[in-house]
Amino acid sequence: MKDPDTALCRFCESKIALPGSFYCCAGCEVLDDLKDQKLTHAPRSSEENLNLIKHYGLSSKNSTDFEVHVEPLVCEACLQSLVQLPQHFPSLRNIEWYRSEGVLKFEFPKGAEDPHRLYQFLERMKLTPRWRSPGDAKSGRQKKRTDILRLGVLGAITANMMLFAIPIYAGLDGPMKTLFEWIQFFTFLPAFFWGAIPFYRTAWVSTRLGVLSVDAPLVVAFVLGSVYSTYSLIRGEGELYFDSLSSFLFLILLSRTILESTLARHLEKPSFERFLPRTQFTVLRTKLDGTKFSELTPWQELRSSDRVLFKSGDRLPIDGTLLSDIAEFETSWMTGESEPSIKQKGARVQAGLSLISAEAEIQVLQPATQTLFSELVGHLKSPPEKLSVSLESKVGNILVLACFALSLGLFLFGSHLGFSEILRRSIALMIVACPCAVSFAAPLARAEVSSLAAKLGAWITRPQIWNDIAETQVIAFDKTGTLTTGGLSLSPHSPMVDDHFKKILLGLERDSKHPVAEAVRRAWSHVSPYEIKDLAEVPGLGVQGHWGVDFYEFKKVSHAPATNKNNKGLAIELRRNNEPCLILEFSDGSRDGLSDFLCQMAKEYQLYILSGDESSRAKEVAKSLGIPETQAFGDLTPSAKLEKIKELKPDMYLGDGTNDLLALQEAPISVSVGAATLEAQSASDILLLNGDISFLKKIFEMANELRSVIKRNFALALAYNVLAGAAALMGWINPLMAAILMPLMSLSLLLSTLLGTRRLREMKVS
Amino acid sequence: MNALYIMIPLAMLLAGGFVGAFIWATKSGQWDDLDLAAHKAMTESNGKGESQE
Repeated sequence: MKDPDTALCRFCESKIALPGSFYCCAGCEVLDDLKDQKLTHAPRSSEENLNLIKHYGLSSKNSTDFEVHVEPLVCEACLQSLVQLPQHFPSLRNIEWYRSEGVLKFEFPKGAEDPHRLYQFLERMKLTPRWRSPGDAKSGRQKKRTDILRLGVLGAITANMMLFAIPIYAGLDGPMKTLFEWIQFFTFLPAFFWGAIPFYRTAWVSTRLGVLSVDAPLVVAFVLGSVYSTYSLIRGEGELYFDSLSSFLFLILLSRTILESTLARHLEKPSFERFLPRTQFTVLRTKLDGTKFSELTPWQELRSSDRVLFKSGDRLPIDGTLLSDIAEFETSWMTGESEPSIKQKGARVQAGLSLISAEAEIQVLQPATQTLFSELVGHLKSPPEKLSVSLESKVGNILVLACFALSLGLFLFGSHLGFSEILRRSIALMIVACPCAVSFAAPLARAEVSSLAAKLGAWITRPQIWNDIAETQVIAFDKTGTLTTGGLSLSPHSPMVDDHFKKILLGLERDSKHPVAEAVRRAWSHVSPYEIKDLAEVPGLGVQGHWGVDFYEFKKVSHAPATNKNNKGLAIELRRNNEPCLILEFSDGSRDGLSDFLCQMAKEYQLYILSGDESSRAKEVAKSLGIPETQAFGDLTPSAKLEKIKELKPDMYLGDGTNDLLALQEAPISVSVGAATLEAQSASDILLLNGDISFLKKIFEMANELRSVIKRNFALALAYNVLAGAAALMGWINPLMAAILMPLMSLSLLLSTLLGTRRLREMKVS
Repeated sequence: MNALYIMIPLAMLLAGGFVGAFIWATKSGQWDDLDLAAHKAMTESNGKGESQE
């Protein structure tokens, strides 16, 4: 007997989360439709199939493979659905799922390919498939396989090598010792000729480019040690370092793999998730008997018609309908405007909005992957790399040079030690003092802080920029859309309006989407409008309608009052029965709270305004924001802005429009603000998606703290390098100890970075 | 001691066998898909695509 309280999926018999449904997911519904029937096979020669085979098929002797990116599978049943796919596709030979890549691979026998039908099927399962080009697929997977193979084989070599090395350390002598040494030599060969290839490659490429690489001393030490050990083996006397060298190779590769995968996890998080302060939400569910219960659900699994309880500070990952009576949202992510928007019960709320009210219940209309917000996030791309030499590469280079110089010094001035001892100490020095840890610890810390910044509203497209941010002194701003909202708001120069006219105006503008209508609604959001009859909007002219017996029009002033010199905005008049009764002025207002923030900034930084608008307006805005008028420039075309950037040399430029593109590309740090154009965003290092310039202060704080974490790491690494290097020079550390110490130090720096940034994260969140 | 002359080649052969198996497994993509393969084993009897009529 089934539990009557628990509804089970008709197809896979899993529990159903959504009351009233027969299936647990779209996949099961589709598969149940197909139960006991096979799909008819579409001809391979159909136009769609031929196109897909040409562009996305990877042909081998007997088969053709296709790969598609799919949305994460939501439940066990989805996985089952995929396993059962070959039952419904007579021509499908095999299917593989690469979970870490979010990729499905299909294999069709040659001559019976039907990728188009399969694609349609995945679409029906709501897996939003996207084709993957065969080149990407092959190279990515091949690299991953080679990395695993290299690590595994080096591990086996090292373990075997130690088995034969330990008896020698324990005092084995005679022919057996010679035998063990030769076994070590042959075991070592694959490590030398194949295992160390990544190090040879990096060292070779950097040498050709004329730059120092942390791998250079490693390769020198490795090759030198191998050649000397081989020479000693053939000669029958002298020390052998095969065990030390292979241990070192394995351990350094292992620690790099750990560091790289940690770094990759931070950088390759789904970009969408980076924008969500909280990624799990409470879904309110009802059992069939009416009992209510709640369930914490990840953002990817919010489905249409789920009722979700959001809390203050949450950013909505879905589009939905508001079920609570009233809720206030910050809309800046989508509109660039900082004014909160009040929504009433039944209103549609978009993904990307941030909840200001304490709580709101929302019913999902569109899941996260089908929203405009997810589309926008998908468009964000990293800008072309600007050249900058990072602190860690400078320090790394100094350490590499120091290693080489000290080794050379040892050869020049340590002749009394004997060649064998000099070589032993040099190898130990170059291994132990390699600055690998430094080169990893800093990028890792930057990736962590970038991830935190994204959650708070700033997308850092180039993590290396953090070093420059901490050193910023001069900042230039665009005016319209950056310092001002770019939208209209009721000007403070407008006369007082009594409630009667407010109600008339709100009634007239009730359905209009015009910026003036938005400004009116924002200005008097708590006033209820009159019901206006015969309401009509005449494009270009304004709105009109009847209230009682009077005919009202709200339209642009035909003759603007020429005497009013302060009139900088748009004048709109309300006419009653063709007689003017009220003139309102609308202007592009400065963003809320900006004045205080910029006044404070002006004390620490040199600020400029560069605007395409009239000079007088630029100076007026500068004055209102506490920036000296002499530092505000107007009437600038995009190329004039570029010239001004070259002349003033600001460290940072903030803009939002296509007219800022040249300036953004020229500035060392470029920031696009709010709902900037896609072009402006793609040229920027930082995207302030919430449009809140005062967030710059947080970014500067983060940059400073990050710098102190990185500096602490450098100090640790430097202390380790000096101490361990000195010990190696004195001959207190042999190459085997060096091989173990070095990766350990790399991992301890990684730990220090993670701890340092975690403290930063906790502090910021609180 | 003489036993070592047999033990060592045997041990190396064994180690070589394991390394060989590991290389084969990696090259044939055994580590690529760690999830679906396990599920396919459960539906092996009817999971494979049948030949096209």
